[in-house]
Amino acid sequence: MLNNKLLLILMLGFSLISPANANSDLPVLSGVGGNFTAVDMYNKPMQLNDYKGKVVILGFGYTNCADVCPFTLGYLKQLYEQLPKFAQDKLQIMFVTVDPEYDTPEHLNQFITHFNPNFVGLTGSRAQIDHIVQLFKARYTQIGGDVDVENVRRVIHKKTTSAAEDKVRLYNHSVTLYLIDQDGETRHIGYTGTPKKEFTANILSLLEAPIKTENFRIKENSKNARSSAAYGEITNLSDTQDVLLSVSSSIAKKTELHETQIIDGFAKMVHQPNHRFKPGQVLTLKPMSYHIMFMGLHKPISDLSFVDVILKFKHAGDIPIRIDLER
Amino acid sequence: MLRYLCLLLCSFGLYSTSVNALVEYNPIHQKYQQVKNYAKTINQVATVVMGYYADLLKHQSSYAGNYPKNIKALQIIGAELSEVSNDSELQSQTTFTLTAQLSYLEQQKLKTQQIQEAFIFKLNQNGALNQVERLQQAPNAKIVDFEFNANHYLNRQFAYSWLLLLDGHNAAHLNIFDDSNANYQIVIGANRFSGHAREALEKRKNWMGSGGHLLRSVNVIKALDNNLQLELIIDWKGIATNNKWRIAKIKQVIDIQKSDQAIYKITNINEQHLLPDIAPWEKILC
Repeated sequence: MLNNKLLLILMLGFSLISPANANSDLPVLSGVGGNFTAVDMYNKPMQLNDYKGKVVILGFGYTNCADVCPFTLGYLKQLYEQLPKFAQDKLQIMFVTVDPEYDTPEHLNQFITHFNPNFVGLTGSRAQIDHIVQLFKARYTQIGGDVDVENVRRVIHKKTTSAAEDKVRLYNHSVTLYLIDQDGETRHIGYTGTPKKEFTANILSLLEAPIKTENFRIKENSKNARSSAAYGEITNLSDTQDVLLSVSSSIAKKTELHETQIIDGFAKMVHQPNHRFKPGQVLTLKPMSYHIMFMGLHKPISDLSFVDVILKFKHAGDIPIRIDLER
Repeated sequence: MLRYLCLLLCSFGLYSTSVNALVEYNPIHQKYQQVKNYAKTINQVATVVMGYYADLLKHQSSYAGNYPKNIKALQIIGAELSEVSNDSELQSQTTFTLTAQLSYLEQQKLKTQQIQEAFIFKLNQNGALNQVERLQQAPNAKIVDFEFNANHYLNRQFAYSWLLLLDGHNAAHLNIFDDSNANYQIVIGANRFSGHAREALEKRKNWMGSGGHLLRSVNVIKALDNNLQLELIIDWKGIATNNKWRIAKIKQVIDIQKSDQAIYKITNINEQHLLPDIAPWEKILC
């Protein structure tokens, strides 16, 4: 009996071994980036390796930057807000200052929190910052000499503690945003000119969608039919409950998740709004059970070779499915 | 117990079969194979063609009769690699078509000519040159700078054959370079390692498992007597040991001593990985 159990555990163990989760086409940029140490905006030492398991977007700047830094952080704020909840949870945005003498952890915290409290600002010694800049093949140079602080347009004013802090330095610096995967490898570079849709797609390509859809099919039916149904399996791979908020397609007036229920001896198709998926739950869509219902077809299903459907989840966001027609 | 052992071995077998199948049909793996084959072909044929033109400029070519005598310089201005095809003997062959301008001395006057010729290779015979066909020939082309001399082509012959070695192909039979006493320092991001050339190349595979190197440029940094320092800029695509698709822009500074037999004895290689040229704005500072 013990041997049977042991064997079962071993076999299950092997079946769970799988290659990399996310299947991104983005290449690793060899020699760009790597582990580094710094001090975060909570005044704690950190290293990039602490963030393994998360996708990281890393950029350089400084709090006295009057032009591109506020613009970049505004861009990243919008990008972050457009991501589904599961991706937000798996993403860390990092802003590395090139002016560590001025940008103390406390001041950096105020500056970064102004844009999004989930972002993290990094400072440290000049040697630490130069090492990070060198690792990412970035650059920065100081522009001219010190400038009176009143002459600088700033997002956040620093609470100065000495007269010396009333003089600030201005810098030119790289505008690149580095997209780093869950293993700490740089996979792409972007900047504020990168369309947000493209940047979002690149981030999502590095993350495994927490909802898996498989074996979806739609049957060809009569030319005159005004409705049709699709079947398949939906699995919640995450460890949190998710909710299917809506189903949409362009082939029908209405697309919804339905369940066939026997009510008073009659089979009725009942709309299932906000269907909940427990962690690990598999929902099998099949005849006389759950199904995706297309009502008010714009054209006969038989005229199509496939149907594109989007499942909108509360946490997982939009999950697209291409359903082939079964003839 | 034996039954369980059999089942256990079966489960191992099934698992390894599915992983092998995954690797075989993985689109990244297919892309990598294409890159690897393409780089091998380019580096093989370019090594031969560079050596061919170096011999011509050294006046040591067995094909010299097809060219004007006393050539002083030759500049390649166009190159096209045709698709690999199979001839009637089922031997894989490829054609490298080159357009070049050459300057030569005739009756103490510098004359010029533009030629187009096709180099036909049998790829399955170690990239051996099978035939050279003259496609076009016209006089009165532009005068070619004398820097496009035999050394220019010898340096490139070395560079392309060196890339063959970097990709793991045997280049010893070409007798172009000797790396038996070479030191190799490599910096890949936060990773630094060094050692004898072949040992360092083995360690390098941890980041650059297998793929194809393509030459972008060759610059002579220093040339004094028999000592030469070359800077190679190379693009690389391939897969790393973690099965991820990877690209690199590599700068190598190579110290060379030229032997009397014109063999390039490599003494030192310094390699750094740069930011690949994937975005035109990447060097902008704000």
